[in-house]
Amino acid sequence: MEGLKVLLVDDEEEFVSTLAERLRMRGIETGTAGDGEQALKSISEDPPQLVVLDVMMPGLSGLEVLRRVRSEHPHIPVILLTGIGGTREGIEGMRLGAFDYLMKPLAIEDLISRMRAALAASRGGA
Amino acid sequence: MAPMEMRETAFMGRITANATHEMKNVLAIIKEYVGLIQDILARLDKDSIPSSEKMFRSLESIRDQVQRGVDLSEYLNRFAHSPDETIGTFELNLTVSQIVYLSRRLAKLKEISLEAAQQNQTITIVSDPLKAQMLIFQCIDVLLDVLESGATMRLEALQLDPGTAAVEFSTDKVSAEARQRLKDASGAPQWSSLKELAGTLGGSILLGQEDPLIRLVLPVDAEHKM
Amino acid sequence: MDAKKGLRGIFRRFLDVSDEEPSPARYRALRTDITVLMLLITIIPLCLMALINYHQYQSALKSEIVSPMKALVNKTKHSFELFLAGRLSTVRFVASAYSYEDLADENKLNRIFRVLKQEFRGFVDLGVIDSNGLQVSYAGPYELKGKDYSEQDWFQHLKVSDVYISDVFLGYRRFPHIVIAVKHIEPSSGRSWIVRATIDTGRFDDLIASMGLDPQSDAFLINPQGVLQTNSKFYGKVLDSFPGVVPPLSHESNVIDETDAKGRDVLIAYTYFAQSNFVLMVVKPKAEVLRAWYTLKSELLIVFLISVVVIVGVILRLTRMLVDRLEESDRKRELALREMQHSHKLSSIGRLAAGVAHEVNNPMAVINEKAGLMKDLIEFTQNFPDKEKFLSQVEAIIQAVERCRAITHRLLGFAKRMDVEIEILDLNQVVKETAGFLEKEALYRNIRLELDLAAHLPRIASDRGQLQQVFLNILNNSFAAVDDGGRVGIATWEKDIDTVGVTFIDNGCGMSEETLKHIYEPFYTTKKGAGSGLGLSITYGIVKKLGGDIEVQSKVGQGTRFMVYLPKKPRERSEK
Repeated sequence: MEGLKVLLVDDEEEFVSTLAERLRMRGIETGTAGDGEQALKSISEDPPQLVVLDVMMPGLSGLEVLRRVRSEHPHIPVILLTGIGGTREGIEGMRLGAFDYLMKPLAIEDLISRMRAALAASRGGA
Repeated sequence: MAPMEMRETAFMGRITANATHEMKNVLAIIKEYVGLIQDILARLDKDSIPSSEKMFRSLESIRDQVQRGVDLSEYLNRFAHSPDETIGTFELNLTVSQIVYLSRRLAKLKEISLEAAQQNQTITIVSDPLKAQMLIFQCIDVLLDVLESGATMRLEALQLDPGTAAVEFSTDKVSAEARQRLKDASGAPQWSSLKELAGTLGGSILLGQEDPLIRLVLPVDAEHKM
Repeated sequence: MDAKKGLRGIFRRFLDVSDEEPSPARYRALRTDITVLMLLITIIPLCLMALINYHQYQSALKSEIVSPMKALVNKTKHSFELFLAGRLSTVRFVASAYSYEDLADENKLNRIFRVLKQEFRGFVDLGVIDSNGLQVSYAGPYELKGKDYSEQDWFQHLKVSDVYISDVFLGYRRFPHIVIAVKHIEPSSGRSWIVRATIDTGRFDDLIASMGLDPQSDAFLINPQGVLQTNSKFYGKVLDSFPGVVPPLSHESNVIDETDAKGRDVLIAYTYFAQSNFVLMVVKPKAEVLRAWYTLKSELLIVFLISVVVIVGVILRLTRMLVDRLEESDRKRELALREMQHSHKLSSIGRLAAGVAHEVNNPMAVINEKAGLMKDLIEFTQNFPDKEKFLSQVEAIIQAVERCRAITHRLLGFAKRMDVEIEILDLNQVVKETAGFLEKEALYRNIRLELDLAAHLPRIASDRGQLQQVFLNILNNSFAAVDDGGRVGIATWEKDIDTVGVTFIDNGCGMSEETLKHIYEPFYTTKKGAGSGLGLSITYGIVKKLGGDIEVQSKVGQGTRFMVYLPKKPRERSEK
């Protein structure tokens, strides 16, 4: 997973920072963003290979961010994080082109394996 | 409330009470583990652990988050337990701040900040706690639909006179559209059912165009007014 | 007007149903109002029509009966008058055709009398009386020659009139007779004499008999003093006094209503004779005359009564139907209204709970990450002291987070019960989840909660949240019914190709038949306590909404069995 660069987007600061740290410990270069605006800005300035995006955010919602990422950076796969019982948002997100969705709280191994799958798929597709 | 709604509420109450009770138990367990790990770490030689600083910070953070969860469960549990007593005594400031705390997420999704005014004075109310909480929550709900994002909604409990208390809902900004929505809301069936609900507590409810947008008046002792 | 007021009242009652809680008394009052009003507006015209018809028929019938009676009386009167006139003119002829001397000669008189008897029936005797009232000659069966009549009434009468017809009297042979006397004045000499004939009234009886009356009717002659002049069937013999009122003098024939001496209601047709002091009376009993009318009247009455009964019946039924329908629709509306209100209130309570569940999820996610980070730190450090011990503690925290997640998930499932949201689901899974919710209570109360789930139950298309609520409601009932240490069982099974079943059995207190009848009624509660009757009507409503059905069997003291049948595919969906 060396050289992999992802962007974590979630409004819960402690959650993103901790998860980011754990991912970095696994050799994944991880950036963070606290809301949708910041995420879009960060993506266009320094495009990551993958975005992990929380659905429920104040302001620009996760689904809206997803829509924009899909239209502006269609090659960047997106994995959604939903709250508990967020099946509906997850399915809606998949319809909008998310690669997969995960429910919080999540197991990091789970996240990493999905990230791998997403990258493999995008490389295969590209 | 009609018997059927009462039962539905009792049903939801039972479920919520059960769930929050379990949640509190689980959080207590986490708290215990955190304490245990902290104790063990404290006994060890700090230098032998390369990342002891990080470990301690993480544990502190878990403690804080547990407390956050406990508070939420606690408040929701109180709300949920209310149907058991049709008449109870409660402190209005505390009730308001608890409901504000519970409603914060709903508000956050609409980018509206919610705050409860801090008051030193205690306002003790004898009334149906569930109905009173429902009323306050539904007033918040109404205003969340009305106000535009970025606004702050402020709730304040007041003692009007020895016999009556009020909860006032105000905001820092009301646009013309919000005003129109306010007008629409006052004609909606939801509003008349709120009025009815307030009436059953011997109180009244007013929706205005200027601050306070909503004023909910409750008798201090509803038992003798109902 | 009272009716108008009543009507307005009814309309008001119809219109303002929304204002008040409909009470049974209100519907009773409404029912009474409508019934009374409808009865009034139907029965009153009916009564009026019946009355008018009654009178019209009565008068029509009466005139139909009265005019023939009048005609009969007139006809008979003419016959009588003809008879009397004939006899009178005969006597007058005798008086004027013969000279006084001829008439005074008894031999000649006898000869005239014989001729008279031959030509005219009824002549009994014939006499000639001079102007002083002395009988000068006599032909007939009696020795009346020389008799002085000068003091008698009829002789006095003849002083002013020249004709006299007497009332009937009984002659010496006990036969009813009348006397006809004619005064003749010879124009040349100015001498006057009187010819007097006695006539048998047997002819009267013939005339009456010729009227051809029915046996119940009677006809007779009386004089103005009320003395019978002929035999009567019912009112006495000749010369008896008529037991009744003599009708007032009238020159035309008349019909009057009377009650006769025998107490019968009768119609009396009568007429006064012009030339003589007779009144002809025909008496017919009303009952006889009006038989047709009575038949008609009773038919009319029967028709009237039947109509009234039918109308009352129809109105009662119609009103009941109408008010029942009204009550039913009110109830439905009320229910719908409550349903609406409560779903609104529920969604706000549900939203709050859902919001809090989400809110709790955030700290849990953070705790999860922090614990994960600690786990990483421990794992990535080569010689971490007591590595295993720490790892197990941290792992315990992560597991606790997982448990908390399950709880919030469940809470969300219940809080978010809004529209039916169909998904393909494993019924056993739903049952397990729901039962899991009550495991704590089961443990605490030492209730054996037994699951018997069919191994290869097909997945069904249904709404998870709604099913959870249904199962939980039923389980809540079961838990309320059993004592501590009791048993609650859940089984799933495939009923048929389209249906799966879930059975809930408990060995609790059971329900009486009376309770069973009412358990789905929205406002029914057993007096047992608030906990026991948690919304079976809601449960029933949900199951119906999902296209399923519920069956309950219960015996007091033995327990209850709820069977929930669910379609494998929701009906509405398949229609779409």
